[in-house]
Amino acid sequence: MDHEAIYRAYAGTVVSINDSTGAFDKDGNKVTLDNTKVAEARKAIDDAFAATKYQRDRAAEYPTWQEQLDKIYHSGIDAWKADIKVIKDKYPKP
Amino acid sequence: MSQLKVNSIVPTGGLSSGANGGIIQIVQTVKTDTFSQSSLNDATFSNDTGLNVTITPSSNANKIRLTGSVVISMDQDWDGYGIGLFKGGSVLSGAVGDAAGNRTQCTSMSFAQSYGGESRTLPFDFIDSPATTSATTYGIRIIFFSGTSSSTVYMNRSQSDDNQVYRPRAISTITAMEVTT
Repeated sequence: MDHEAIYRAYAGTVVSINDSTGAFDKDGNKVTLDNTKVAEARKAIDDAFAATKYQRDRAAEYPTWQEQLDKIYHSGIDAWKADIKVIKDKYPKP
Repeated sequence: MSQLKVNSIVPTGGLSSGANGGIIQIVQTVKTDTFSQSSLNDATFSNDTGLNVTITPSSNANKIRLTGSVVISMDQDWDGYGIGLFKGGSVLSGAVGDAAGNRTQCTSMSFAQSYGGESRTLPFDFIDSPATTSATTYGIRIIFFSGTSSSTVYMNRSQSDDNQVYRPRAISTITAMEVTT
């Protein structure tokens, strides 16, 4: 079962999910799931994740903060900004 | 095909002082799918996780040894999580740490060091004296503790669960063994 999508689709209703037995509310009552509603929630989650892909791509390539501070110390802010801009341009914000 | 039935088997050298009998029944549940509970309140046990085992003792004098391991994760950083051993829907008496002020009582515990997506495998081992010959159900529930917030907790998966090889699925087990006395 797609737990994240179910929690999003049934926010405030579904409290626990067991793949074997289904989704349940706070009182332990089984909640009947609408597959279309769950699929829409999955799409919203995937869309949100995709929209921030550039952030994860950039984060993976930025130098460590120690390296960035060293760059600033030895070469100045402009040189540091130039290095960072290469990465930002490589993964532009949509 | 012949069958040998005896009431008791004793080694030729005899039983050592204080030794009891042997294992006469083993029941195990292996949970291979996942469980989660959203917004689990601080220091509160989860609902039924589905990791339960039922055993019917053949004598009310016999003991039940419970062992297993549980794979859990949560979505909070720097907080703690654990498990509790339950019997019939209630915390199994003696299977949690002593009461000590506001401190949460649980059977086994761990802390996420830096990222709530970390998973832990928590073992447990406990001997119960159920004093019954009725079917008895033991189970494992998850608990979360931070002092400030709630968390979604998971069993048999990491917190992040996108479809990648680095988001594995695991198993959790509970085994009940009837030991004669």
